[in-house]
Amino acid sequence: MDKPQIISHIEKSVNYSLFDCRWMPCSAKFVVMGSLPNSSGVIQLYEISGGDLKLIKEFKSDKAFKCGTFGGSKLSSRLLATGDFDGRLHLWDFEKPDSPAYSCKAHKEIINCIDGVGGLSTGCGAPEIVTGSRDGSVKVWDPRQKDKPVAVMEPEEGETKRDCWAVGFGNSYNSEERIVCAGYDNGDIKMFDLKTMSLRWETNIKNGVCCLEFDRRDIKINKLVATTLESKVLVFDMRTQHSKDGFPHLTEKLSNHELGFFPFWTFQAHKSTVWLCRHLPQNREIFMTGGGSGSLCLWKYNYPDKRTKMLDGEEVGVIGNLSLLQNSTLSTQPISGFDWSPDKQGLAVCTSFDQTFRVLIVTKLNLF
Amino acid sequence: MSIRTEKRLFNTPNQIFKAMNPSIELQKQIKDNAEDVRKFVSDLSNWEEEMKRKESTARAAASKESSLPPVRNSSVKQDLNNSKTANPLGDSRSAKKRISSNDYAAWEKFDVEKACEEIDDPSLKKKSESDKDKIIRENQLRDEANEEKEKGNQFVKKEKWDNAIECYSKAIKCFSQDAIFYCNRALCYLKKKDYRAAETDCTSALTLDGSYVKALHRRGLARKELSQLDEALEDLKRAFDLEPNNTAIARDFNSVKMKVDQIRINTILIQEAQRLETEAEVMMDIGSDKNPDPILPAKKHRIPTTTKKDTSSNSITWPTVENSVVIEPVIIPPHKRSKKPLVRVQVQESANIGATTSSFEAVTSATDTSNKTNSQHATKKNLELKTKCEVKSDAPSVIQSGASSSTPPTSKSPYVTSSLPKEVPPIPKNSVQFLGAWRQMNLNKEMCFQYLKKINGQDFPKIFQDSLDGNILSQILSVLATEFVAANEPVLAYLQGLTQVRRFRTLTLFLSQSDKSNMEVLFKHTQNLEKTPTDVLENLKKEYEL
Repeated sequence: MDKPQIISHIEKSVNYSLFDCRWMPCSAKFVVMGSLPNSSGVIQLYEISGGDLKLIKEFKSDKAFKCGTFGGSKLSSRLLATGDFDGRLHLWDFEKPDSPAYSCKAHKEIINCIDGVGGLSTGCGAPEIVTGSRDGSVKVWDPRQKDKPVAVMEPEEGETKRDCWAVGFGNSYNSEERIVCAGYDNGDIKMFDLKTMSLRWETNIKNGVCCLEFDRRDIKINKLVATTLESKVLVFDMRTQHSKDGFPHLTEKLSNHELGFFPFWTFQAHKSTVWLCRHLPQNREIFMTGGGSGSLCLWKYNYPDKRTKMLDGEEVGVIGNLSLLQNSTLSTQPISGFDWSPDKQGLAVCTSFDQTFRVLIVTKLNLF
Repeated sequence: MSIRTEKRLFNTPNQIFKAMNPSIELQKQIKDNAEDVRKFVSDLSNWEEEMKRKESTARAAASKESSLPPVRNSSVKQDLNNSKTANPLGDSRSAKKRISSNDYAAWEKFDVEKACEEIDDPSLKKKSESDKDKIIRENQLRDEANEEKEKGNQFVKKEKWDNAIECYSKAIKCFSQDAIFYCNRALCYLKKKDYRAAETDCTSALTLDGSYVKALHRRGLARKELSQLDEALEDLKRAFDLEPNNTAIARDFNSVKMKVDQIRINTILIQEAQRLETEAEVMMDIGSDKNPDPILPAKKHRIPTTTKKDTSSNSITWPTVENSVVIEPVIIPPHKRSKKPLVRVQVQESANIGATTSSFEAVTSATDTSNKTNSQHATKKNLELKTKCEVKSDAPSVIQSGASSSTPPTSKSPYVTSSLPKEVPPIPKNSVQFLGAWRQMNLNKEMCFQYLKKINGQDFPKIFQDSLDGNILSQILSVLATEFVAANEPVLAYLQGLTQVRRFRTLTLFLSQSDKSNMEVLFKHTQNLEKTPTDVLENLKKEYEL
């Protein structure tokens, strides 16, 4: 009865392949980016005004853009960080779009994923951007330092390099603490602590990790959502880290013995690859996942009565459960990008591989 | 009315509700949802307005920025570059200042005494401030240095080297850790031809930045001018390796390389010439008073000299060649030398030289011609010596002989063979061997015949590749037509083999009439001897363009 609805408010077709979209913070504008047929890159800035879209700025680059984020830039400057097919990291200032405000060759190969934190928009601490690439490395960049990453996580010499598909910041609740999570094509998830510069946790969830997101970047790590190939959505409760395996079993598919340390919940949805997951900025228990079949699912995480319990004298986390609030099929092609408006609850934009982007309205979110 | 009928059908309200459920509920939901969306959309336009307002205020507030933590993992020096970056201490204090007035939990934990202590602690404060001052001062100096550099660059553009040097020196004084300043000053010194200073500056630049291509290039040029050619070559080679596409570097690198090679050759030649000279002096009668040589060391003149022809031939061990005449130097004082003008000497193929010395009848008086490959004083001294040097340096294309009709010892030159090889050379593997042997046999038909007989005709393409020329072809054909036919040997294999040689088609265009008649003879011969089928013969004829 009181289910939220997912409604496509405005639809627009473009003449290029769309890979990502982001709302510009503190505005009614968003950017979409992708690849023209000649594999050069394009970024467009649209503003919604009166139920219509207005193209405000457009600029092109010689290589296609794969991903972008406004995280990590100051609210005043709102620089868009992008990763392209050539492995380059750019920061774009929409006031001066002729040349990037920051540019460096970050990786040898395509940058698959990007995330930003800090600055003054999200989280405390230094503005940082993390990029994950097909070359197997995850690099953390500070826009104040040119050409040199501030941290690099890559396989050692001789180890096979896995394609990194997903990265995400978290735990940035003060100016020192910060965590980077990276997901790889073989199902590995690695969690790096940037404060101690060490690998804090790793696991394998058997299917390639398409997207990783903490429910919030700027709080103590709470929940991590991972989406994978073969339509799995996993939720980890990260609050309580157990020293050794020995969790209550929550699913039949994967045992906690294999996953270690964190309680989690897995769910099958979409009947295809789950490409992405985005938490609602106004409510961290609600998140949207986008699937390979062009469908969107809206989820709510329900906490258990008690988040921890004692087991053999040690505190163990308890996982809650997920409920599906709504699902909707928007397109016949996979959803490539999705972003909630940080300023308006229920407003979102999503891109799909049918060369169309849609401004979405999700109603009744205030009821949860 | 309808309600009444319904009431009659369903006795209890509960039942009515159940029946209504699917349709009415759905209708209600749709209506609700539509209302929701409508509300949302109208709200959206309000929101858009609000966002625009917010955006403009945010832009205005852009100037108010609090400090950020330093760049992760960066050394202190890197932080200096960013003057906005505060040091960690300052940051921790500012972080505490940020506790907002309504954040009661944080205020509860706030340790007032500790905060007071921190503020009171003068040492901490002082230290942080002195650090800050240092950073600022350093940044100022750096900016100043860059300004001076810009000024210097302007002067360089106007080619005012002295002013530019002054500016760069100031820049270095302000900030001595930038390779660019040194390198630019080096350029000015180079232009001013102060090569020593240029080299020093380049060296300083290179200690700051080892792979600074411009500095390497300039040092190379400076060293070249300082005639430290080996070092120059090394610098330029490194610069060239770093920037292989830079044409200027490539050009300079090549010129220095050539120079170095030239000098190497020259030193060899000079050594050789000096050796010969000392020998020559022994046998020469120098009109030393009339023709003093300021370059030669004085003591050489003092050596008592008598004409001893035999000593020279003893001291220089020329390879003795049979049937050859060793020509000894003849010394004629300058005033008695021939006054006839120089005459060009015909250059002849070695094969034709044979035993003739008549081709050298032309008399040259070579007093003024100086051979460039020889060192100067050696040529001035005596021209007889020159002939020997020439032979020694394997350059007998134009042979200048002395006033007397003389030929140089000939064994060195491959062209000059006075006797035929005694036996038929081995089967050649390539064209060089073949041509060498062919020339050696000197068109001795008998030898050629024996030689060709050893070679399998089908191997011609392999031997010659694409270096068969028309002359050799017609010589081969004439040998085939005369000797092979006379000896009644098969020739078909040779004819076919020759057609397989690359570029044969082109060569046939230049066949002379005599070659063609030779061909006719050969075709007839092969038809008679080997019973070649006519179609093969026709094909061959086509190949030979007959």
